[in-house]
Amino acid sequence: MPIPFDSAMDDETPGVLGFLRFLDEERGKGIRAALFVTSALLLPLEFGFTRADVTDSVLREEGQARRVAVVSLIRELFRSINRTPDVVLGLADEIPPLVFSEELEVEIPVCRISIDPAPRRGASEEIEQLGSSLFVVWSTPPPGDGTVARRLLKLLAERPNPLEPFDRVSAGIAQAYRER
Amino acid sequence: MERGRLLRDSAPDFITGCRVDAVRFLLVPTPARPEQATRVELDSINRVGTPGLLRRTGHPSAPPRPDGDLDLAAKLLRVLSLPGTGLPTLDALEWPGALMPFQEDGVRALMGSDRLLLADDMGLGKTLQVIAALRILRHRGDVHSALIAAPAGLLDQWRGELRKWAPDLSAIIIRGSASDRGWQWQAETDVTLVSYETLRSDFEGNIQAPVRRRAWDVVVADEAQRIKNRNDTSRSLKGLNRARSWALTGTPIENHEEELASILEFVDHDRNGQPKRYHPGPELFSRHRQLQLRRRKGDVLEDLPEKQVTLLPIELHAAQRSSYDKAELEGVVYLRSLGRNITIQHVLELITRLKQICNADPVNGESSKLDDIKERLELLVGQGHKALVFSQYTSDTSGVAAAAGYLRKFNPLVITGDIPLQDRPSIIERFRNDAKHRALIISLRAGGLGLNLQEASYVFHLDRWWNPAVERQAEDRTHRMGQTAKVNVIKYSCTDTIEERIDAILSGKQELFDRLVDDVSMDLSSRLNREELFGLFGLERYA
Repeated sequence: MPIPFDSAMDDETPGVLGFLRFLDEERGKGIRAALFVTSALLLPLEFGFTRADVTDSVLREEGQARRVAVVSLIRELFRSINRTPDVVLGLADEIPPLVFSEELEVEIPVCRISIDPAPRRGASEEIEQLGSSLFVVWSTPPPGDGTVARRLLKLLAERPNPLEPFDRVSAGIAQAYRER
Repeated sequence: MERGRLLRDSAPDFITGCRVDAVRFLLVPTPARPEQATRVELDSINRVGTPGLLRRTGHPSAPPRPDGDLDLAAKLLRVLSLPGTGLPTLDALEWPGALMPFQEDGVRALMGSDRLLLADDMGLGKTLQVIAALRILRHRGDVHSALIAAPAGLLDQWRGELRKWAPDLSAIIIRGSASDRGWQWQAETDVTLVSYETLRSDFEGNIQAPVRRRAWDVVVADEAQRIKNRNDTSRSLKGLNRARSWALTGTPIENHEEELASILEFVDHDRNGQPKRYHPGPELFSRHRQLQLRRRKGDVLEDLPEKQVTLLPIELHAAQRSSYDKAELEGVVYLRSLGRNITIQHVLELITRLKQICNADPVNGESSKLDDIKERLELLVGQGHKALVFSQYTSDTSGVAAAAGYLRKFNPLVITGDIPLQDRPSIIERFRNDAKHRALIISLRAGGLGLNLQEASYVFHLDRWWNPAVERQAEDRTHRMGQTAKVNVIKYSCTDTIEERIDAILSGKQELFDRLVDDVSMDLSSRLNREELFGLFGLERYA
C-alpha cells in the first residue's frame, strides 16, 4: 500500500537520490546490501536491505560469484522500493564495472563514485570529476545539464562530505542485522 | 519499481530466496521547529492512517511482525537520520583525537539503541565510545541526564576521560557522607558517576531516594559483570527509571549463563517498569544476539602487536620443595583424618596453602618464580621494558608484598586493595612517567580492571587464578589500543605440584568452553567437580 507523502520542502527542492551499498560479512561468504532512498536534502525516505550468500563454484571464474550476488541483490533492492530515484549512486569499490550496462539495464541514471581519480571501470564507462574530490563512473548515459539528476549531484558534491550518506547506509545495515 | 524498473535482466538468477525488507519513512512539516522545515517522523504513519510501516517483498506470505518491525524501523530511522535532520554527528563535533572506524560504528550503535550490551574486547575503548555517544546525544537534546555506574576505582578515570572527550558536559561523582551525597544526587549535571556500592546504599531502604525518583535518559553499567548476580546491587541498577540501558563488559559470561541473563535483564528494560526475567535457553540466547555488539581485538586492530602467552614450567628450589612436600603430606593426612566430615572447602584451603608455597617458601622466603622474574627483568630493563606482576595474594610471605621485596632493585610500585582509590592514579602516573620504576606489582583483584598500562610490555602471573577471564583482564591492561610493542605474558606452573595438576584439568575444560561460548571464559573453579577436586590429592569422594 503506498504511503501518502507530504512535504513542503521537497516541493522547493525536488528530487530523490538512491544510495547503494554492498558490505562483505565478517564471517562466512555473504554480502549485505541496502538501497537508501533520500530526499534532495538527504532526508531518509526508504531503506531496503537484504543479504545473499556468495557461493564459489568451479563452474565460475574467480570473482564471478560475487558479481552474480551483487546483481541479484541490486535486482531485489530495486524491486523493493516505491519511489523512483532520479539518480542512484554506488561505490566504485563495491559494484563491479559494467554491471549496469551488461547485466542490468535501468531507465534512470546510475553511477559508481570514488575518491580515487582512476577507479575500476569498464571500457565503455565514462568518468567525470564532480566537485573537487569526487570521481563518477557512469554506467548509464550521464544525465544532461539542467536535469534533476544533475542538480542533485551538484548539491551532493557541494556538501562537506559527499560520501557521508554511504556511512549512514552502512550504519543502517549494521543496525538491521543486529536485530536479526 | 514503476519508472525505474529493470528493462533487461540478462543475468541468470543463481540466488533465490533473497528477501528484502524495506522501510519507508514520511517527511512531515514541523512548524514547532521552523529552523528545520521538515523532519522525519515515525508516528506520522499512524497520523495518516497507514496500517503498517514495513512493506515486505519477496515473501508476501511471511506473517507480519508489527511490533518488532516498528522497533527496528525506529532504530533505523535514528541511524539514517543523523545528518539529514541537521543534528550533531560525530563529524560535526570536535574531538581531541581520532576515533577508529569500529569505534565510530560503536558510537552510532549506542546512539541508535536504547538497549545495548557493548561487549567489545577489553582495550577497545568502550568508555570512549560511550562518552562520544553521550556527548552527541546531549548536543542533540536527546539526553539530559546520564547515570554511569562503575567500580569505585574507575570513577576518577571516567571523569578524566569525560573532561578530555566531552569537556562541555558537566559531571559529578557521588561519594562522601550521606548528607554530601544527598545534594550531589540533586545536582543537575549532564553525567552522574557513582560506584555500584554507593548506588546500592543510596537506592535501598528509601523509596523517596533521589536516585529512585529521577528519570534517567541513560543508565550505563560499566564492567557490567558487577551485576551478573541477582543481588541488591544488581536490583538497584535494574530498578532505576531509565529510557536507555547500556551495559559495558568484555566478559558477559564469567561463570555460567545465569550471569548473562542477569545482565540482559538490565539491558532489556521494560519501559513500563515491569522487571524482565531471563533464564538460560533459546530466548535468552536469541535476545543476547540481538542486543550485543561485540568486536574482537584481532578483527579490528590490525596494528595491535601480538600477545604471546607462555606457560613456563619451573622447578621449586630445594627448601621450597621441602616445605611444599611437608605441607602437602601433612595436609593430605589431615584431610584423610576428617573422614566423612571432609568438605570441598577443606580441599580448597589446602590448595591455597600449597599455591602460596609455590610462590615463596614460608620459612626462608626463597622463590624460584621470583628468581626467574628477577633474572628476566635484569635483561628486560636493560632493553627499556617495563613489567606488570600480578598475584592474587597480598602477603609479605607469598604475595604482592613478597614480590615487591624480592624485586626492590627495580623500584617496583604496588597497587593492592589496601591502597586508597584516590592514591592509585598517582601511582600509575609514576609508573608511566618515571623511568626508575620498572615494575608494577598488582593484586589481581585490585588492578585487574580499568587500568591502562600500555607502558608495560611484559606481564608475569606469579600465581594462577581459577578463572582465565580474570587473567586475561589483567593482561589486557597492557595489551590494548596504544600498545606498540609485542606483549609477553608469562605464567608459571611449578612442576610436580598442585599447580601442574590443576592446570592439566583446567586447560582441557577451557578448551571446551572456548568452543562453546565464543571466547567467553567460565570460572573454572566452579566447574571442577567433587571428584576432580578430591582427586587432586588422591582422595576418594565421600557421599
